[in-house]
Amino acid sequence: MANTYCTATNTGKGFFTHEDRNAFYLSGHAGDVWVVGNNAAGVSWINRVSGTAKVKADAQAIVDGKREEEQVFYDAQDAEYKAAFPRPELYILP
Amino acid sequence: MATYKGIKGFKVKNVTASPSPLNEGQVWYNTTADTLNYATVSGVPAGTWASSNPINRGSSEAIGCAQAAPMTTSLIFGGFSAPQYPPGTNAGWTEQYDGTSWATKNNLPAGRAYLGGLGTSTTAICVGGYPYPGSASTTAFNFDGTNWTAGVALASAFSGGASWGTSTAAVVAGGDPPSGPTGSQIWNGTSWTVSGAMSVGRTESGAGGCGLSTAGIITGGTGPSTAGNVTEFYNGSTWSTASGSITAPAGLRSGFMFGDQATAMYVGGYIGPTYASTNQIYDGSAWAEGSDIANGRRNGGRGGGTISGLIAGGAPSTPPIGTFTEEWSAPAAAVVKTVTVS
Repeated sequence: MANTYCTATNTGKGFFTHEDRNAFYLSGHAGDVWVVGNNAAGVSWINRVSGTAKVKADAQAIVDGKREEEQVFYDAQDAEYKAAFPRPELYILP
Repeated sequence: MATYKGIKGFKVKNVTASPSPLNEGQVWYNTTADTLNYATVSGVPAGTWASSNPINRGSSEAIGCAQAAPMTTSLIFGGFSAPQYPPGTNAGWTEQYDGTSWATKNNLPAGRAYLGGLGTSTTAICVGGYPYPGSASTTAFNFDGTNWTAGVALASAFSGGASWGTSTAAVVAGGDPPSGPTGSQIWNGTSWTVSGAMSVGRTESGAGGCGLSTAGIITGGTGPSTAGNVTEFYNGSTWSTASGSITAPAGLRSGFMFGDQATAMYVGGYIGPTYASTNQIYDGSAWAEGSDIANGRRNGGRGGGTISGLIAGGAPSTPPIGTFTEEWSAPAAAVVKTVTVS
């Protein structure tokens, strides 16, 4: 399994470092969801930031829920707003 | 005859060995080797992105920035604000970075988004942009580090395009009509003049340009078409197609660009339906994949260059991603060069 999943609050400076980025894959998503490379450094990072482990389906559901909230907001806007911004779409986590 | 002190405000230092760490643009005289040296970027910088403290204003996009400011004094201003940019809430907010945190500064006199930004944190210029709802404007404001005052209007209304340069020599290019999507304007410190046309129209070009007013580089924009993937150089009056294209399957736009014609980075942006986290790096002839940002986004603020830079804010609107700051560091990219006179 290439990646593991968690939720964690980005606390700013030091939340993830240059060294972390060299040691494991990391990408952040809506709902404080983080996709983390599944190696020792990645698992250690989840512990360091007090992350809550998630299975992929649960992580995906959190992201989808946030994106659907954006879609509801978008659909309620006027034509000028819709011309200025693209409609948020769902996507699959890596 | 012009002197270095006359131009830069300080003398070249005499040292017995090259300084460490090197900073791009640094100049010194090595008394041991009897050589005049400077630090520059060589090749593709190998760096990574790390988190820093968030902006204060909340999730925001379509932000302007002092494009020539070093990373540690980055200045961002304007843009739509959270939550999820409801109409009419674009603001004139201004924030300055100190290398660790963002501090709130005085607001722009009038809120605007999709604006251009130039200069440094003490010589910034905000150009164009538009209030929402509204249309592109020619309005400019100057920032002295404390207050914003009225500036010199653009030659043509501008919004949603790229901007780069200093308070005395700068360029805006692309964006929405009437200035864009192929148009450009050049600033000489006194007035704006309509300049040459790009070969590719670049709407949604955002922060996709950088360099000097006489040696600029631009790419991206014009999604969902891939036409904007090509690279173009600007020489102060005309545009030419350069070698290399960024790689994106459906047109990458509204990303963050750093550097110059020799070494540049195009970071993030939007490729429907996702926000890109890619970091593409240019070596003067071709684009290659670099280390990605953690949080894919578009239309945020940026500061610094290819050795030390940052991105802050931007869409997606879902809080809190639109508040995040990420710092780029590629310290190994700077190398010592010797000035020769032969």
